[in-house]
Amino acid sequence: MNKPLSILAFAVMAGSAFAQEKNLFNGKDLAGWEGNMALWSVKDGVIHGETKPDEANPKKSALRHNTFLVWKGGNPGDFELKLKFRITSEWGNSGIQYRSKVESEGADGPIVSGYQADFEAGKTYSGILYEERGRGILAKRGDQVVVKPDPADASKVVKEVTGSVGDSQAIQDGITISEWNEYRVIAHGNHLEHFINGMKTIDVTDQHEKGAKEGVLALQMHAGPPMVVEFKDIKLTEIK
Amino acid sequence: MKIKYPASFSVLSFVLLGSCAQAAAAPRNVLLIAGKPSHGPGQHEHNAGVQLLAKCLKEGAAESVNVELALGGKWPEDCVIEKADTIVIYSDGGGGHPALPHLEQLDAQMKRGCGLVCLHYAVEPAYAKVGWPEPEIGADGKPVKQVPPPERGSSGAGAQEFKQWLGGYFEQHWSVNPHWEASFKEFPKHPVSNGVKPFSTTDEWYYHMRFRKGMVRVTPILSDLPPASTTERGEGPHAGNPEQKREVLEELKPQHVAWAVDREDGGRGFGFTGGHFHKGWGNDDQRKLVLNAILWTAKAKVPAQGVESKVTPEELEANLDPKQPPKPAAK
Repeated sequence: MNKPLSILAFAVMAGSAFAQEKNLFNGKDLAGWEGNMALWSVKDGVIHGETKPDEANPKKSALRHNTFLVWKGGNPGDFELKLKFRITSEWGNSGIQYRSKVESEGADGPIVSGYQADFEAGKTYSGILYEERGRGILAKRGDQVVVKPDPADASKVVKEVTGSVGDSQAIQDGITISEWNEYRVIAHGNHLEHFINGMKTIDVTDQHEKGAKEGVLALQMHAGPPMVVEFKDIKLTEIK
Repeated sequence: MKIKYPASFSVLSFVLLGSCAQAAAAPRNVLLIAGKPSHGPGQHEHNAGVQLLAKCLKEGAAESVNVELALGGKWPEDCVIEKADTIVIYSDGGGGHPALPHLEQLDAQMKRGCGLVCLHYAVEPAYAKVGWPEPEIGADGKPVKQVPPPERGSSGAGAQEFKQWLGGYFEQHWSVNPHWEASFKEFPKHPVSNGVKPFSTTDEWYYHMRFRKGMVRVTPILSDLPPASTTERGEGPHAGNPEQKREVLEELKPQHVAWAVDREDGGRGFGFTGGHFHKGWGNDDQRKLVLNAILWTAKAKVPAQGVESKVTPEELEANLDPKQPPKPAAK
């Protein structure tokens, strides 16, 4: 056997020893997840998050702040996360937190900060990269962005659009929010990518010091009007 | 052997091959490469197949793609490769895969985000055993039959490249090539499945591909559980192996015979293991799926209802390679 072949052989062997897909939701109960269980439950085999209208003001829910269902199984850094989601209420805004941090226990459940793969019942934010309680919108749908420190003040952030990954309208047209859609998030080093239904929605290289390298995964319930959001088939593959 | 192609196509390929200096227009460039004839009539009709796909693209997606052809196993000129937004290869594979002498050139294209589609045998690069023990010679002087080790792989030319570019490939002693009727009942929400309705076809649907680890960036598009009969062909490089049998017989795991990958380099790949029989291209849903995939890998917009096309029985008979009819059975 010649030398390059044996090196390659080693690479092949080493490459197959990891990267197992992990199912984060068992389809029966919320074992392994923490949050305000008055909002989150398992219905018909899917994770069901619901806020009810406030009696004093039925246009709003009683939720006083955004809260989250937090996965307690680890702090993934480099990974591919796949899940299916839908919003069955008229209004709704949710998202998938990743490389995130549980900031505090709020009056209505845990409060989380960090990267969020956003989605909503409206037509603007689904697919974007938002940073909850942080740097805000880091990439709009369809944009390839490099996030970097401001040369004048490194704590400030410059978001430079360096290209396009797709047509924002076309991506939105591919989403029927009341039906199941697939979200895929790939985080590898400082490179973050979102896909919905096989369409790439953003591509971000986060070169700023505030960019998290690992942290919790969590699902968002938004304050505002009453809403229903559901999740299923939540699958994590860590890339090491 | 000299193969005659319809004049219109050879003129067209000549014109397109000669037009490299032109600036790229808005439509995306699709390059279809057909391999040499190999099997009997109606099978591995690479030349007729890509011409049929080209016809359908021109009818159903003329505004979004330009189509260029390279027929008869002739590798395109550098300038044609370099301006392709996706490269579709329909050819025989293994050690004679037409891409193998051009892996470096293709690597450069993939790195700039060019798409890659491989149809049928073209999903199989060369094979070289990795992870197997040294062969032993038994008392009878013949090599002792080895149990395939679980951590095996391939270092054959193109294997690691195809895993990267296409998301998965046919690996001998891991993948298999039986004929069976696959029935595709549901599809993921993905541009490649736009407008595709459930369908069934009998084909040489290779399965148990060697995919990227953890299926990272790979979306299965066509999946079905093969019948037990596909596990009854013994063991061998293409026939069967322990893991394939276990997945089908014990784990009842649907096998992916078409898949899409969003690569790290921004490019897209699509593998499709059917396409042994030319008549399969007469199936509207199979054809639509592959046409959608060509557009998707070229980063052209896939219509919401998919790429519409029609194929008449005459068109399905067109451009077939001249082949010897099968020999009459011995008396």
